[in-house]
Amino acid sequence: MILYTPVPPELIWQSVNEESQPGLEELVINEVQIQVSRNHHNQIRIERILSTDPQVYLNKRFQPGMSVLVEPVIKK
Amino acid sequence: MVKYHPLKPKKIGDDAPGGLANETNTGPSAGTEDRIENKEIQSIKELGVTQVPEPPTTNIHCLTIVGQVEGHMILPPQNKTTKYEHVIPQLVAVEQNPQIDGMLIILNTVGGDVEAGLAIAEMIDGLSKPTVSIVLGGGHSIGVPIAVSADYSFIAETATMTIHPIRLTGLVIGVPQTYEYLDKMQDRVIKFIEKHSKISDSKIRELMFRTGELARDIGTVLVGKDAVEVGLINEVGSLSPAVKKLNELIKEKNQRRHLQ
Repeated sequence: MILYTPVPPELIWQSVNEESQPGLEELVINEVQIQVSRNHHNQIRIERILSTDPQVYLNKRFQPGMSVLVEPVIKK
Repeated sequence: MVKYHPLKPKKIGDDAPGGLANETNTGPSAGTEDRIENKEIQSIKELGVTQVPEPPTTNIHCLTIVGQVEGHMILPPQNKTTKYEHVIPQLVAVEQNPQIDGMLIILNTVGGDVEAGLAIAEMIDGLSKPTVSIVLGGGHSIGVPIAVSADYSFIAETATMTIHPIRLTGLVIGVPQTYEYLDKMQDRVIKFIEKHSKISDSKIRELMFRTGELARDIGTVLVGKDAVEVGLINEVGSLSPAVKKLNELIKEKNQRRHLQ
């Protein structure tokens, strides 16, 4: 693998040996691909929207930084 | 925080099953058989956010390439990355979706993986729908082929593009083969840029190996109109001219289709 970038390698790889932080997870909600982080047991935080649809970014239900409570619900 | 009753949630994933996979069964009255059958169909509950009407759909989609372009290796988490496996399926979806007429590519990247960058550039080039790219902030290194892969490219007045040689950032094996391999990788990038813009092979190489412009390094930084002058980018401009150009290209394409 070759990285073609003006960023020095020591900056790119600086945290590679550190304890790994809890990473981001990907979810698809209503056909919108988002990246989330887990706050607590059943709460997620929208970190980034991955969809290419610009209208999704105007949707108040998918604002980055928003916390969403995730609970399993049995559908009737 | 408003807590909703688990069986009457305000759902955002109601009509799209398969939101979250969670095996735990927390519903207070979840006993009947058909409920157990539908165990997989679960939804997501939201907190204190009002329902908004669906926004109108758009015929232009927008691909953002930000941070490092990530390919074969997952970069440490402090790097902001654009992942190959996100972008490629999105491009396939854009190609297949009949409701999408064109795509805007917004670049603010510091380069990254050569293979992933070239793959994204080839996919954008292979898209049958009109594409327009805007370089905002920076479109460095492997961002250059991505920027020129679109049908028409813009660069913001203050945006920069760094053109410099490729070198190995990982394990360096000091044998002639390593040098030849790097040279080959570099040629792939140069050939792609040359094919998709008005710049010549010799001009890219001249910019790439220029000394005195970058501290401790060789290469060139092109700011806004410099990139247009050397023939790399089509025009200086930002959002409004880019969307206008994209709509023009879409119109042209539709007219051609009607003539056939």
